[in-house]
Amino acid sequence: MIRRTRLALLALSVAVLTVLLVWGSMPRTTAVDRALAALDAYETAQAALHRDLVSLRAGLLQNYDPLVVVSVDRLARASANLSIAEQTGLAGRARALQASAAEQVELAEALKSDAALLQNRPRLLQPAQRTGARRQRSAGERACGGHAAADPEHRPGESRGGGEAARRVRRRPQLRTSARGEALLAHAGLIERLLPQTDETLRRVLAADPIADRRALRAELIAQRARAKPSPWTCGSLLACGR
Amino acid sequence: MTPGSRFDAWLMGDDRALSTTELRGYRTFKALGCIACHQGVNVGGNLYQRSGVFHPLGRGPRVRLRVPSLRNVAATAPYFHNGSAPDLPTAVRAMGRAQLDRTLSEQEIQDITAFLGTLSGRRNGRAVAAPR
Repeated sequence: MIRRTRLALLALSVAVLTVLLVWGSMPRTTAVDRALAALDAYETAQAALHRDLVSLRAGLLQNYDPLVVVSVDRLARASANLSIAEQTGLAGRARALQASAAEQVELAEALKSDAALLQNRPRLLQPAQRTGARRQRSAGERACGGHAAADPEHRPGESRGGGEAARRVRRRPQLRTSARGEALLAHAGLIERLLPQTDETLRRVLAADPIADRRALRAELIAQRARAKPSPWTCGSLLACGR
Repeated sequence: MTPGSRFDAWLMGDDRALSTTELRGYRTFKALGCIACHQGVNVGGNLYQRSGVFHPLGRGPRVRLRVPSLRNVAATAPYFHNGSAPDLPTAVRAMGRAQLDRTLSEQEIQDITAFLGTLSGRRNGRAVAAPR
C-alpha cells in the first residue's frame, strides 16, 4: 500500500515537473522566435527602403506610391513588431532599432520632397527640351497601368546631370538681362542648393542603419533561444531527482 | 474611392475620352513639372512639399504641406490649405508662380483646368460633383 502511494506520488511529481518545465520554457521560446521573425522583417523592410531611395535619387523611381505604400509602411510595421523583444529582456536594443526606423522614415520624407523638386528641373534648362508634343499614349504610360505617376519622357539619370547644367547656366551673367534668364537662374540656383542636400539626406538614411544593434540583438536572441530550449539532459536530471 | 474618371478611361485606351484641350492640358501639366509632385495613382497625396518654393503662396509663413490628390479636384473648391483660391484657374495660376516660377498663359491655365476636370470620378454610381 505504502509502495503504491509512493509510486503514485512519484508519478504525480514527474507529471507536475514535466508540466512546469514545458510551461516555463514554451512562452519564452515563442517570444524569442517572434522577436527573431520581427528582426528579419525589419532588416528586409529596411533594405527595401534603401533600394527605393537609391532608385529615387538615381531618377529610376518617379512614382512614389510603392515607396510610401510598401517600403515605408512595411518598415514602420516591422519596427512596431520589434516591441516583442521587450519580453526577452532586450528592450534597449529594440528601442534603438525603432528610433533608427523613425529617423529613416523622416529622412525618406525629406528626400522625396527634394527629389520631386529636382525631377523635372534639368529639362527646364535644356533649350531643346522635348515639349511633349506626342499625342499618343507612350509605351511607358501603358506599361505602368496608365497612371500619371511616371513621366514617360523622363530619362533616368537626368536629375544627376542637373548639377552640371545648373552650373553652366549660372556661369552666364547675360541671362540676368531677361525675365526668362532670371527664371532659369532661379531654377539653376535651386538645383545647386538641392543636389548636395539630397545626397546628404540619402547618405544619412543609409548611415542610420543600426548595424551594430541589429547584429547584437540577433546574437542575443539566438543565444536566448539556445538556452531556452529544453534539452534531454535537463529532463533526465529532473526525472532522476524525482526518484 | 472614386474610379471611372475620363482620364482613367483615356489611360485604359479610350482615345475619345479626352478632348484636344484636355489632352493638351495633360501634356502641359507634365511639361511644366506639376507631375513631379502630383504623381501616383491619386495624382498627388504621397509626399510633402514646401509651399512657395520660388514665391510665397498667399499670406502666412512658408510651410511644408502634404501635396493634395487632384482626383475630383474640380468638385472641391475653394483651394489651398487656407481656401484662398476660389476657383481652379486661380489656383493653377498661383501654383505655377509659387512652385514653378512660371507665369502661365491664359491658354495654359485653361488647358490645365480642363485636364483637371477629367479627374472627377464616380461614387456610388454617380459622377462626383461639387456640393450645391
